[in-house]
This record gives sequence, structure tokens and C-alpha cells, in this order.
Amino acid sequence: MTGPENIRLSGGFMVLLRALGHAIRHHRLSTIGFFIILFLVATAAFAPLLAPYEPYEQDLYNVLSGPSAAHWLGTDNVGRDLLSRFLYGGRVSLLLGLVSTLLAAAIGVSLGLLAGFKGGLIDAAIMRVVDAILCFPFLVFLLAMAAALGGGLINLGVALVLFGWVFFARIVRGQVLLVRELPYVEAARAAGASSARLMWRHILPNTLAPVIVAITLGIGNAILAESAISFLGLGVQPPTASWGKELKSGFDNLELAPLYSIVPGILITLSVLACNFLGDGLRDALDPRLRGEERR
Amino acid sequence: MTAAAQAPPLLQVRDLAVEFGGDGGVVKAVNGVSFDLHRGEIVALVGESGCGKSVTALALLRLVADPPGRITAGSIHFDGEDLLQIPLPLLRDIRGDRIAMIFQEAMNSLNPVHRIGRQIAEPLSLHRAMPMRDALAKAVDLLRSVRIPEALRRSRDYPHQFSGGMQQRAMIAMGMGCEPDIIIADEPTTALDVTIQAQLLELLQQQVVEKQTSILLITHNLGIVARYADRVNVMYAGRIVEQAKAEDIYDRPRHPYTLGLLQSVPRIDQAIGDKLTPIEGQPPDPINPPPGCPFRPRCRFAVTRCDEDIPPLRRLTDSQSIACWVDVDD
Repeated sequence: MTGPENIRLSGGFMVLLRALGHAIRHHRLSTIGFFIILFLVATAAFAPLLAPYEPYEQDLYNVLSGPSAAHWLGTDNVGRDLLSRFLYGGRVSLLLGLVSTLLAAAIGVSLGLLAGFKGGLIDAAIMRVVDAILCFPFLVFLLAMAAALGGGLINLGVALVLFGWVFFARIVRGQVLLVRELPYVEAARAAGASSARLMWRHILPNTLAPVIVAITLGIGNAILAESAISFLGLGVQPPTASWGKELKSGFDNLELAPLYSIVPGILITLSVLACNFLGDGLRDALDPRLRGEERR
Repeated sequence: MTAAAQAPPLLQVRDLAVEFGGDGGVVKAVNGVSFDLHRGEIVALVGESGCGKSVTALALLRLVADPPGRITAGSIHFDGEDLLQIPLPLLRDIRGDRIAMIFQEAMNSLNPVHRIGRQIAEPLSLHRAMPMRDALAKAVDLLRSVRIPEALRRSRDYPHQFSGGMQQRAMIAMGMGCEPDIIIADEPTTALDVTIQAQLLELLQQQVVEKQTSILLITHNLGIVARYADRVNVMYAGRIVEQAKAEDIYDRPRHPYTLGLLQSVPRIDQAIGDKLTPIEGQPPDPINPPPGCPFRPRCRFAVTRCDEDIPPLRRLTDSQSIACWVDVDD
């Protein structure tokens, strides 16, 4: 597999690209996952072009109507086009999932790196905070945060970051504890590298593989969490659309317009499944024992 | 090739002691080690696994992991300064620049996510404030000097694309980059086949001749010592038991342990049918060493005094010392 184009790929971002390529080529489920994600992201990104109506445009003569040529998926309880709502809602759900997970990863990776590398008091302090946060059930934590900060998109994002970083911190700390004892770290120290250099240049890149997997899984979880919180009424506030909120509004009108609820439910399920499929494939691709075959 | 002994030594280690402490007890891994390294000479540190030779090497640059390790005593004078006393930032300037280290197991000593060229360039950009572009060009030159074919192309490879011998040569290139005064080579050729071993050691020897570099060669291979080292320190259980010129060690070993070591390896001038004589027994338990000489339980020459007093290193001739109450030459 080591063609000339593969020789240069490694380290940080390149590990990700190579693993992604490997996963898509060799892991059927993650191929499916990858294309579902691509499709959902594309529809969300091009929502203004794809949506037949503005998401807030009301047609009060057509409330909770079924599918028709004018409104493919029907309309909601104030006569807004559901297809358009779902397309725009995807922007909110996917973006929130992506941004909150990346922020959580950035914080978690930094703190986990610090904890694992420095050890001692710093390690104890960081990891006790992690333990404390992990004591809370996920949803209870999010609800408590929403109750304390108030509902809304930004506050939900903040809550997701505050809860999500601990997973990354734990993963990275564990990896750092392994990597920091390896001879090449010792060799870099013997060559005169400072602690900061050891941490960021020599240790960090060697801990990223499981982080990449955790990010894909984290995005799925964040989308699910957004849905749950919005469903409970504390997340995204009207009139903004998100999949979770549409699911909730549709749930109240299930008998009159079943698609109102079913479609966002399917979208949430699909996106979370796709993230998990892709994460699975990436985990296999990043496993050194499996990657070893590719080198030969 | 031995540099004039009258010049002050480049590196002067005195009474170095390193302990590893845990709840299970304290291990004195290095216990009062003293030796000198002069400019342009190769000094070997030999001994069996666990005798403290690698720990000694690490301690020279204060690389012993703390915890669990501690350097508890001694001094390491290099160029007028005690490396055990100077602040860490100053020590970092010395590491990799004036004293470089080559580790055993090159496979694990190169970072798998960085290109070979960049890794060799790192000490140069760290210590010489060299722009990355120049450092990379120098790295290619260095790879060429350790005879890596197609150095420019191979400098863009990752470590796993190198063979074991090439990795070790890359490590040597990295060590030589800043033209250090001292190269500490910790079993640089273990796990390599003999032809590659010879190539690598000749590369190191060439450094000594051309650049007056000094090399501390840590090994358990007496064949390598015979061929390349100027002087030898034999270690046993954290102590130096014999210090001598390389040729004296082979011709006239004076410590029972050195004698035992030599009798346990085959020699070309041995009569056919002669059996090798192993050293019976095991090294002492490092947590609870016996009183007296640590080699006492395995020693054929032991006298009563060995049970009580630890023999200090005593000078027999100008260039030969042993830590033993008897002299096996007598």
C-alpha cells in the first residue's frame, strides 16, 4: 500500500487523512457513514440554495398539511415548510455538534496532556475535576446547566463543552502516560528539548489517534444531546429550527402530521449512526496492528 | 591514540550515586562511581545487565527519571562546571549540543510521527539557532556522512521506512550534528548484526580521529571493547571494580570479576576443546546487598576480609586499579 503518494502522509493531520482513506476503502460501514455525513453536511451547508422556502415563512392557510407538490414534507403548526425547516435545522444541529465537540477536544487534549506530562499535583487537580464532572449523569448535568444558564443555543453549546472535555482529557492523559516513557521522548530530552517542546512536538502527535476516533463519536453524542435537550424544551428556542426541536414540535402533532416528527428522528438517527460507523472504521484504521499490514 | 593524561580530563565523574526508591525498598543502582574521560579517547563502561552502566550514562545528563530515581551524591565536572549543580536551562544547552547521547534500540528512539531529516535537524535548530531550511540541508549532509544512500530522498522518510541499521545510523547522525565534545553511546549496536556493528563503530571511531570527540561506550560486548576502546571501566553491582587500559584488561585482568568475564567468552587463541568457564551464581539482590564485597558470593578468590569490608578502588599501576582485597595476578 505504500505508494509514492502515501510516503509523505503521517503525523497529526496526515494521520487522519490516511486513516480516513483507509477506513473508507476497507471498512464498508464507515464508507456508508462517511457518505451519509458528507450528504447531511452538504445539505445543511447549501440549505439556502436547496430549501424551497424561507424557514420562517408562514402559510397560514396550510397548517399541518400532509405532503404535497408545494410542500414535499408538509407544513408545521404555523404553516412553515417542513423540508426547509429540516434543512436549516440540520445547520444548527450539525454545527453545534461539530463546534462543541472540537472545543471540548481542544480543552480536553490540552488539560489531559498537561496532567499526564506534569503528574503530581497538577495531575491530581485536573483529574479530580474530571471525576467530579463524570459523577453527574450526562442529561442531568446538561439540564442543570441549562437551568442555571438559561436555555438557548449558545448556553447549550457551553454546557456540551463543559461536559465533553473530560472524556478527551482522560483519553489523552492515558496516552501521555504511555508515550512519555518511550525512548524517543528520552532521546529528545537528551537532545536538549524543553518540557514544552517535548509535550507539544514529541508527545502530543503520538496521542492523537484515539482522539480522532473520540471526536467522531463525540459529534454523534453532541447531536443526540442537542436533540434531547431541545426535546425537553431547554435547548434551541423558537423560532430557530433544529432537529431536536422539530422532533419535539412534531411529537405534539403526531396524529395530524406524522412526518413532522418522524423525519427529524430519522435524520438524528442517521447522523449519529454515521458518526459511529465512521468512528469504528477510523479506530480500526488507526490501530497500529492493523495499519502495519498497509506498510508492507 | 590515548590523549595525553597530563591534560585535565574533559569529563570527571566522582563518587556518583543514584538510587531508585520505592515502597519495596531502595535500590542503589550506582554506588560511588568515579572515572575520567579525556579529549579524543574512547572509554568503555562494561558489565552485565543491571550493573548500573546505563543508569550511570543517564545520570551524566541528569536524565534519570525522578521519581523514582535520584542522584544522591557525587559530582560530574565538565568544562569547569558541575553538571549536577547547574540550573536546568543551562544543562539543556549542553544536552545534544556539547554532550550527545545515542541510545540502544534506535527503532524506539526515533519519533514515529516525524521525518528522519527533521529529527536530525532538531538539535541543530535548537542549539545553533539555525533556520529550519539550513538545518534540514545539514541533516541531509549528516545522513550522507553516515552513508545512507540517496540521503536527500531518505531524509523525507519516516523511521519505520528505515531498516534497523539505518535507524541506528540516523541516530548517530543526530548525535554528531552539533559536533559534540562527548558522545555517550549506550549499547549503540545491540541487536544489530556484526557487519553493521563494525560499520557503526568505525563511524564513531572516525569522529574521534577527525573531530577529537570523546566517546563513552557502554556495552556488554567484550569484543567491541577490545577492538575500539582505549580504556575500560568494569562495573559490577553499581560499582566500578576494575579500571585499566583496554590491552591490560585482556592481558592481565587483576579483579576476579574481570577474570571471570574474560573466561566466559570465547577467544580466538583458545585451544580447541577448552571449555568456557561461566561465573557461577547471580548478582546480589540490589535491595538487600550482602555486607562486604558485592562479588563475594560468586568469587573464587574470596578471603575472610571480603565478608566485612567493601574494598575501595586501589591503584596497582599508573593505569590500572581494582576494587578487591586480593590481586588475581599474584
